[in-house]
Amino acid sequence: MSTATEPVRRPGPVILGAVLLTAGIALLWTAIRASGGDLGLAGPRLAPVLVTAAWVVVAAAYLVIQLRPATEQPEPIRVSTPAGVAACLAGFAVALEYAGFVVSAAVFVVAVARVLGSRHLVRDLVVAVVLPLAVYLCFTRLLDIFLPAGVLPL
Amino acid sequence: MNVFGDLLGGFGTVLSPEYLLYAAIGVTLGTFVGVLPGIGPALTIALLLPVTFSLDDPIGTFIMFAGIYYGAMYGGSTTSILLNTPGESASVATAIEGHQMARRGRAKAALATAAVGSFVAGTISTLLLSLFAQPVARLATTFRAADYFALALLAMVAVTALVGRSLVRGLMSLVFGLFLALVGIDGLTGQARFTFGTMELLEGVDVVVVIVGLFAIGETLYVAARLGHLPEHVRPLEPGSARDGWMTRDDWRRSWRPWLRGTAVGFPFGALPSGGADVPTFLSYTYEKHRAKNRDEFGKGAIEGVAGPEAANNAAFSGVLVPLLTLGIPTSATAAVMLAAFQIFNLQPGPQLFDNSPELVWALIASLYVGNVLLLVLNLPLIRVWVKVLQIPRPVLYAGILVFATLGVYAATGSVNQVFLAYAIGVVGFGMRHFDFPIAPVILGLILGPMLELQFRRALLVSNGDLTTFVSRPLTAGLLALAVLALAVPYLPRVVARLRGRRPEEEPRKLVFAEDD
Repeated sequence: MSTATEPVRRPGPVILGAVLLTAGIALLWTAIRASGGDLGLAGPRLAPVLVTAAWVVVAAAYLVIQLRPATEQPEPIRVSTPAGVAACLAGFAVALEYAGFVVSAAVFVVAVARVLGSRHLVRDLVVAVVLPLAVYLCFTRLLDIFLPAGVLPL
Repeated sequence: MNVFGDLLGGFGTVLSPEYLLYAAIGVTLGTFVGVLPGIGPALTIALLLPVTFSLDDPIGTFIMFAGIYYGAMYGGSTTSILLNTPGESASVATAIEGHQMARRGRAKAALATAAVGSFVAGTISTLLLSLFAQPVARLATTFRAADYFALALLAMVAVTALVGRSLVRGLMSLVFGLFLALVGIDGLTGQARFTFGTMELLEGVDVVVVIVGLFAIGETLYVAARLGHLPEHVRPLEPGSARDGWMTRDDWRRSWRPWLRGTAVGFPFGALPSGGADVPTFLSYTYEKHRAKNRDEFGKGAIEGVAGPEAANNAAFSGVLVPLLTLGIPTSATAAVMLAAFQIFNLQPGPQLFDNSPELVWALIASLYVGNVLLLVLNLPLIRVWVKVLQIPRPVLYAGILVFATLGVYAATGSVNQVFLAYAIGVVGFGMRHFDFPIAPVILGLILGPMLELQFRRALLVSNGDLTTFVSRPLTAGLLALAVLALAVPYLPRVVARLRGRRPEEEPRKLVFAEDD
């Protein structure tokens, strides 16, 4: 984890601290506005103000620590792969109710396996067909849990 | 003895063929999912929650959960030993020595001492749980709202202080969890909070959505970002028939004391609000290391370093059940998930549970004994199956996990919007892992937050708005004082060093325990 040998500091944690602080202030503002000045101890408006105020304080502390000379920093990562996975997930969720569970999950499995570096298309295809179908049949027939059937006449 | 009568009744329930089947399914499913790299018990239970939605029998479900939990822990230790990727932080200590043993061709002995140690610790600590549960529950009936408020606060703060590497980051996680808990309609007055004008958020943020998002989606995204940094090579088991190569006489001699010591450390730490099994497993490891005559063997595969932490890990689970069942207060992420599972069945753990559904409680406790036995008889013989599971190619494995995560959220909520919410929380979880924020405090904040607020307001209603109600009773004041103290615990080594006149920089900056997930 440590990058002690590398004096260059990445801005990530500082930006994160600033974002957290800004979000905290915005939420605190929302909470105070919603309370309309009525912060009764036993009422529903006190807790939001307290929690968001704590958010602001902790976020500020985090930001201050990040501004000091860095002791340890997160290791560098590739953002492209998780972004690809996230894109596949979004597609899956959108397609779920239209194309149905089996079809959307099958496409999703192949796509995500590719993004995650799989180069065995045949293996992935077999998994992509068998797994969703088995899960669908198990859940809908054995466990009586509803899953969208979609385009397949199941 | 009343306890034994109740317990026998529990056994009477559990030992029916139907419930034994539930227990066996739970143990097998739990081991299967627990063996998968990167998946701990909390996520295992969360992913398997949908399986139980259609069961209308809470007893069967909880017997299954107990099996899933034990199985997941056992599976986690298999992964630690053979692959050196602990699925949960409580297995980290096991991974240190266990993987070294596997590298030196003693994988079977490591697996065996872990399994037998888990069985011994599980059985002893379940016995302790049977003895302690009812007295604690009876004591808990005298607790008032202000006491519950103080207890929930203590559990939250203590776990946050002990888990993770930085108190500030832990508190940030906690505050985030508390915020998520606020979203939705206020239970007492029906007023909407932080719904930002949407209908979707009125019902609040479902615990299952958060757990699946943070653990499954977040973990997978994190793995995706670090492809190539992960150990892929599974240590093979030694050849030979299924009967050979387990523990030698010498292994038994070296293991039994660490098992008992691990149990002795694990149970009390599990019962205290200290974040479950992380602290006791590391304590056990450190103790065995200091105590061992062959100290230079540590780091190269000392069997004591597997036996002790594994026993502590298992014992801590029964310990965690004491506050969970008797007070309704979870002290680890996994316990929080269990509590969520209870709530799905409209069961509120706490002192009333023992009065209202004693058959459920005692069946659950009895099923812990049964689950332990089942694990021992099912798992060592089946070890080659679990090794095969470990060898599932990573891309396919994570694709499957994501499918199950999506399925779980969709089945729990019936809404694609909630699936998107889980994904969004997953992205947050990815960021938390990347920037080293602990996950467990989010879950605890989410679960304990509403309890905290409810009891706070209840206490004030009872006392007519008099804030001194939180300090006028010694019990309440003491618990609150402990909560404040807990914030200082991580800095104790530094304080001690300074008192001894040493430069604090030479000491570790904070007591570090890995995270429970």
